[in-house]
Amino acid sequence: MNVHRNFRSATRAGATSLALVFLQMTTGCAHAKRVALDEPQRNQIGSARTVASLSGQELGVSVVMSTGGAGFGLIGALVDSAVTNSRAKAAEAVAAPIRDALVDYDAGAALGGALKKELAPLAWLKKNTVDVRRVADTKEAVAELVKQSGTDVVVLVQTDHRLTPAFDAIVITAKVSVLPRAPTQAAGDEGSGPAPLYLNTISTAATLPGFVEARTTLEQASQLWADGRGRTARRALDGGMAELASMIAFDLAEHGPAGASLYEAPPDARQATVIGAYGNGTATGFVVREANGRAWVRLPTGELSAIGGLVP
Amino acid sequence: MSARRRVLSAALCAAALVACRTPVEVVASSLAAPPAASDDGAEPAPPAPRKPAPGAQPVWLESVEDRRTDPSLGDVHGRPFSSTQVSQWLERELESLVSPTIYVMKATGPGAGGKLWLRARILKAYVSGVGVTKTATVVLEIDFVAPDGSATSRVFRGQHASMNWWNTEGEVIAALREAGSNCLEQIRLAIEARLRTPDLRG
Repeated sequence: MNVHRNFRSATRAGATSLALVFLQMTTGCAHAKRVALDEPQRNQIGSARTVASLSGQELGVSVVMSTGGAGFGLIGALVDSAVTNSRAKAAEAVAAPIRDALVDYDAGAALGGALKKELAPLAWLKKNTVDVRRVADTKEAVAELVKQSGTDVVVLVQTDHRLTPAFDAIVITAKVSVLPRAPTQAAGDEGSGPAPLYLNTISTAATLPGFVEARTTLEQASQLWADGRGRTARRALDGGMAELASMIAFDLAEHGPAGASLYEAPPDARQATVIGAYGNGTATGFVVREANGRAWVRLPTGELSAIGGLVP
Repeated sequence: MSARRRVLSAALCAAALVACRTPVEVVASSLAAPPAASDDGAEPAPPAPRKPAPGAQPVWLESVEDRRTDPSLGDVHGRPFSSTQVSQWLERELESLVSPTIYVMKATGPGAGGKLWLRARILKAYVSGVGVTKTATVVLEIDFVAPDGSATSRVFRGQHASMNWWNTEGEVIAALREAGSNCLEQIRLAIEARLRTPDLRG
């Protein structure tokens, strides 16, 4: 009898522990990824250098990763890799006409010009200069850049521009960080470089006019972007770079919730779904600004994404 | 497994992972097509001097200009590649273009004669990665200059997409080489087509 009771008690304790672990895991996973720049830190900045870096030399593509083989061990993983590889090869081939149409397009110049214009009014970003250069996405390269900057902070804008898997939108994504020259490493994170004073992922997507879901093929979408020496793609990129810079200036000045808690929608805010950063999937958040058929959406984890038609 | 062997395995794994992210400066000689290995395992012989086919027409290569804004060859899954010798590589490849009807020669000075001159500009040369795939791209703009000095320009894009197995230098170089060959093949066909036009046909 005692054995039976002990077993039941142990089972109940086990179930409770499992439930607690599960609860901790689910709430533990959901935390803000955005690091807001607080006012005292902002006021201490005496000089800044903004460096914009483009990861791709031309408009990139994205693919939906195959996961159908997930339940079939190593063979399934190999099949998934082959399927994803085949999708990527097809996307790269179909994107060629758009890249040809944009071969003389200078995305770096568009981004640099937009950042100069949008960051100039930020009075606290003193003596700021903007330059566009390639920075390898490695901790060492970033640490070296900060070390050699000669300014109090480096505003690093690591940008990527690519088509969504269906070619129905061009997404520009920037990982934006404000890095202090004097290292302020987070506890237990020694060796990973200076902890950012500000960090966020900001993206903007422009959808392709005339695209019909499940009807427009990749080839047709490619042609629509490429027509007239890439008229539509150029408009999406020019508008996207301008909007991205504007979003960066906006987000640098925005406060965050206390601690690492999630961003909660104000009672009257409208919910909206956006294309995910780097063209991957979708995400839902609340609208923080809306104009000209475009909406800026704050995700619960803090990222800022814009969605809508081509920027007017 | 002994403690020593475990430490050694961990060190080897760590070294391999670090190597997978180490920046690579690619030189022109490694981008050039490798000479075929001989059957007996001996050192491969240097390429034999090229002999144009009888009746093949000369095409003069005036210049190859690198218009890329920086030497980056892109990065594949976090590993950056770069080269300042892309123009040397592509100049050599253009100079070795040969077919039964044409052969390309480096122009040594004015007065070389000939019916067609080429001026090449390198617009893009890079490798990018998406998912498990790496794609190498080479884009050249060619001015086709006729004897009367009139020129027409055309852009040629060579591309090669393949599975990225190990992120190694060899894989990336092989992909760039394939993209270069793909681009040069299009240029060869365009040269042949141009020489078949009535005003340039001999």
